[in-house]
Amino acid sequence: MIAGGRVVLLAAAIVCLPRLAAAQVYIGGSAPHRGSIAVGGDGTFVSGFDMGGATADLTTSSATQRYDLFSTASRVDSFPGVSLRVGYYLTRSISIEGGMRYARPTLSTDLSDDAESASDEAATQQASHYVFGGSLVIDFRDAAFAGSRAVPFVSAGAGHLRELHEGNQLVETGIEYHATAGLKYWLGSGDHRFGLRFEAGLSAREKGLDNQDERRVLPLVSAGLSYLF
Amino acid sequence: MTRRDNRVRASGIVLPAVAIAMLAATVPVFGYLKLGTRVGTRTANLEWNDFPIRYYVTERGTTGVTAQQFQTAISASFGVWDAVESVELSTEFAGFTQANPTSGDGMTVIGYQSRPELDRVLAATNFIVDTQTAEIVESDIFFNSAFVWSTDAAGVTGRQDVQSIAVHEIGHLLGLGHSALGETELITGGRRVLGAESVMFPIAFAAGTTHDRTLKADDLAGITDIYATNAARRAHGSISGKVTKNGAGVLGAHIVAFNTRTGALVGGFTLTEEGTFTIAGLEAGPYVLRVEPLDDGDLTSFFDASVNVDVDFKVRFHDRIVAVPAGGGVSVSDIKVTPK
Repeated sequence: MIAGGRVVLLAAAIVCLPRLAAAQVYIGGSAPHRGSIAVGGDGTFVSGFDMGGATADLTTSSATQRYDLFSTASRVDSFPGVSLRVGYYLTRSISIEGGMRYARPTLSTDLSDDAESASDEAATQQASHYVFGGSLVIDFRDAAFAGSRAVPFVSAGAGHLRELHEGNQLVETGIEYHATAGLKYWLGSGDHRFGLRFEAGLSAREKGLDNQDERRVLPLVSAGLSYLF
Repeated sequence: MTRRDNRVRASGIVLPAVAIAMLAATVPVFGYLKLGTRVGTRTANLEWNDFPIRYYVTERGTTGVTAQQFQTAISASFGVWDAVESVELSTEFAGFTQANPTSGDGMTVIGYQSRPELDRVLAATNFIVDTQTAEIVESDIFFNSAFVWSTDAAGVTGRQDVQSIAVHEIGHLLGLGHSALGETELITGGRRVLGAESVMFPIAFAAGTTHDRTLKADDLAGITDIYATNAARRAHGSISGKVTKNGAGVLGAHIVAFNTRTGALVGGFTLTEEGTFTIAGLEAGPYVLRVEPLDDGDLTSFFDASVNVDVDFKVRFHDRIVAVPAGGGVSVSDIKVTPK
């Protein structure tokens, strides 16, 4: 799914770049311009996912049958988090960003169907989730509105996923890809100014604390504040 | 330590005097039930220090199994343990002997003996241990030729599989005790195994079954706990904790650790009056824990008869996911059980 998303994103960029180059819409004086820097922070929300079930079973005398001791079903609950980012404008419309995201997702494992009638239980754990990554951001300046204060953008990138189980002794790593679209809303018109940023998209992850080590594509939303230098 | 017929439960076990003396002195240590002995004021694991372990095979067959077939199956069984990547041990077939598998002759001997009076014992292992160091210096395994045996690759219904039983007994020879990772039901005159996930479970599957030729995660954890390579010590971890009932420690509770990522099941016991346990030799990963009373075998299969094992509590799951780190240990909060 993410591969498809990236194709769409690249196509959008290819279509838009010539128009951006030609339009050169004026927003807030000369900024952002090549060399402008934007820093910001966001609140994020990433959807949870099921990690599937596993049965604790025993070998029996039969070659084909297993004896089920109990069943498990594991998931990562949806998790809010925060992110920090620093962006550098390569042109007035294209910037690169680096940053990190931090969250404290809850892992849950439902325990049930015990062979000796133990009460069902939900075992949990509070993990730590980090993504250190980078993105390419393209502002659609010719699509700006609200007096050119509101600028749509798309962003895509990848990062190193680092997740620590409770106790911080067991580390799981993986890769995170993301593709989002959103809106920057600049407050003020000076070269240095604050802005709001909203975006939504998909975050795809591989490995990490996933029991099944599968690629997961998860909805991602964020909202935050930026400051443009 | 003995392997019993699946149809029956424990009864009096007669072993050579030296074995009785030694087994009486052994005590379980750590969560995975390793064999240990008192050395001064401390408890030390029984283990071999000199490798390869050289063993002899009694040049005597039994009905349906020649001495050569028996030796081949025994060597294959030693090979199963030798092949565990996470451990540093080796064994070597030293040759056939006319000696019987009895302690005190300076040789480690595996062979048949007819012991019809031990009608509940398929095979048994005994030791000579240096009581100053807990080093095993000799160990012998006898297979009871009062039973009917087979070395057929696929097993033969109604005949005990030599290799399956040998893998279990060699586990003892290497220093492992019994695992409780199995479920049984009472039947007339004994217990029937519903399922087991450890070669070291004390009650055998039905005759003809060959499942125990292959080690399970529980066995691998146990042997890794004793003979881990340096790399394995860095790669494996442990879980420690305490089981309590009404505020007091529970002795003899069976704890099952299930790796939700790999599906590996490893068992351990609380081994102190305070209810403490440690399950070592675990692959790093997330685990859930289940605590149960030791009610799927005779208590004397696991503990000395003098130990006051508490079996009066309900099975329960721990409410936390436990992350076992590589090369380290993790402690869990008290697991509180309630009386039945």
